[in-house]
Amino acid sequence: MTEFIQITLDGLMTGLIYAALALALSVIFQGTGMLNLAQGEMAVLAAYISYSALMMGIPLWLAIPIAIVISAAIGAAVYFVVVRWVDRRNQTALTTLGVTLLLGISAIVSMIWGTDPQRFPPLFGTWVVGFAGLRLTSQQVAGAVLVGGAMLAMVLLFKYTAFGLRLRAVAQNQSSAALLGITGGVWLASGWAVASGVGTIAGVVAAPSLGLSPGMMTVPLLMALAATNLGGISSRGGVVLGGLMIGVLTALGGRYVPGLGGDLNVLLAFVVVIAIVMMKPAGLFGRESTVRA
Amino acid sequence: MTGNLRTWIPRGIVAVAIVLGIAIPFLVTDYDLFAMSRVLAVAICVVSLNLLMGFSGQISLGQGAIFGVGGYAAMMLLRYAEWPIGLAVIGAMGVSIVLGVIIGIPGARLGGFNLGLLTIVIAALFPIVLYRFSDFTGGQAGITLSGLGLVSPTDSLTDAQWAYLVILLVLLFCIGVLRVIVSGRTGRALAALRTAPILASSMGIDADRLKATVFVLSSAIAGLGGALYAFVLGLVVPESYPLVFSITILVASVVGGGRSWWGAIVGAAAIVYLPSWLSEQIPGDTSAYLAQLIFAIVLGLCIIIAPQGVAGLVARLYRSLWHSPAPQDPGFTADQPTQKEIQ
Repeated sequence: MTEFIQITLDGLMTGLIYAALALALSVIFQGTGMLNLAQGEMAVLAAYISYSALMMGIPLWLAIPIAIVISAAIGAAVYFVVVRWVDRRNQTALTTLGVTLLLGISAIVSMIWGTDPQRFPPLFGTWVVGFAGLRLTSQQVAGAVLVGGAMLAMVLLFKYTAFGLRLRAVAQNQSSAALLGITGGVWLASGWAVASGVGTIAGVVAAPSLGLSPGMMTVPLLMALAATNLGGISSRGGVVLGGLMIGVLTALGGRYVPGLGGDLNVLLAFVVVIAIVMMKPAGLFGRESTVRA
Repeated sequence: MTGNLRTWIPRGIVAVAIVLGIAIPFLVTDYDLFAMSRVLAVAICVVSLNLLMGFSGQISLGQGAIFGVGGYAAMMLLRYAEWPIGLAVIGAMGVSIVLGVIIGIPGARLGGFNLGLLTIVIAALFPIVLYRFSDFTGGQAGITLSGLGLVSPTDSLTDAQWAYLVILLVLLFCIGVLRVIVSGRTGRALAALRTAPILASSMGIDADRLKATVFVLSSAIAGLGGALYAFVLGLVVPESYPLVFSITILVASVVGGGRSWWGAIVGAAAIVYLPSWLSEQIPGDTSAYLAQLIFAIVLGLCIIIAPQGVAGLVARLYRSLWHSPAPQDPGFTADQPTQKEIQ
């Protein structure tokens, strides 16, 4: 029983990374209608930026905010330079654009930093806390604190600030928002910036345990995609819960289902998600949308 | 008279190109032929993606993985089950069809970006699965053939010439079949599905069924191309089929021109030759990533400014030569059906 709870706990902690990525995916999807398949690669870039900052002798508490700011700027730039030229109703073109970004960013990262995995220093040192036979590593605590903090910041931002209100307005109905003087471009770019900021946290939290390499976030991205489908991509809270559920599901599956484990857990996540989405197409917490001919 | 010329010149060019294609093996060295055979095998895969993306408006980010599955299946059947080569190719297509059904049916049912999602999962997992089940797949070392895959049956042709001609004929056959499919009744249904999905279902087109069928057909062709590619190389290794390879196939399809058959061959040539040319210019690993970056930039440019790719640009140039009013450039795949499709 203790083992079961321990694995569930580990799954929750890994799920936090998926949840952060899924949240970034959801924010961008609501704003620009694009499934940003480059989200994982953007998080990798952010992790490399904070790694370079650390190597330059900048302390960790400063390196992470610097990386967040830089990747937010990169996110906004990506929107202005490429995304806004593509018709948002054209799903195929948008998805293709996502992989284009993935290809390009991964090439740039590999050219600048090389493909050999780098050791990313642990965020909160190395220690373990024990409680009633359960344990949490400093890694997991750091993840919980950082991702939890980012989530809280998102809730406050979207619910209680004028900035967040405008972001939501543009995401929900761009033309109505424009009539109220909230012109789309700047706010959609802000959405990209916010999402890249959240993605940075995912990258920085994942880097110490996964080892910093260009392909580091491929599997977490797939898990996050499963999470957005499970939770319903139109619901920010839903995708976060989805991420946690995927984390627990794959941790338990990897332990108790023979033959699974490692990266193959992605398969389990998708089989379960497809089964659920077949019954509930908008995901567990998403809203069904209807179209008129 | 001019009108006749306008339709006959492109046909003439195609005829000359086919004759040239058949004559090439007798003009160049076997070493160059080897690279060209690879181009043609990759082109089979690109053609399959053209059917899926260009004509039916669905996306696959895992076409390279299906190509790889075809390659692995063919090699395993040939090597372990000791099937004759023709049967091994058919078996590889069978395996690809099964995979196509497994992905295509839920992909079509779920709609939206879900097919893209499922295919990128397959593309990312394929190499991982290959390493994981190394008892069957040979792990990192892969599977090698003891001899050549495509051995010439006559003395008048070298093995390289034979392989090239076989793959060229298969490619032309695939293009021929697909041309018939996309120009007939099915083609009109596909154009409706691509441009106005809701209208298509209102007119009684069973959209899910058609989408799934197209996906399965495209998987079968990709698997066929993959089997031939594996035989040309004489080996399959996991590192030939990473996620990036699947995306590169997409680059070839879009950059060549999503609904152009010769564009597919141009695209395939670009993705085979550019990396090897760059690696001759720049030593070290950088060249591979430089090629990747160039692909990304060109693909991005195509999506934004040239949705019909190289083929679209050439067609526009050709029309402007005849001073005909250029039809407005339709958007990326979700564009209006062309005049040809309506007739």
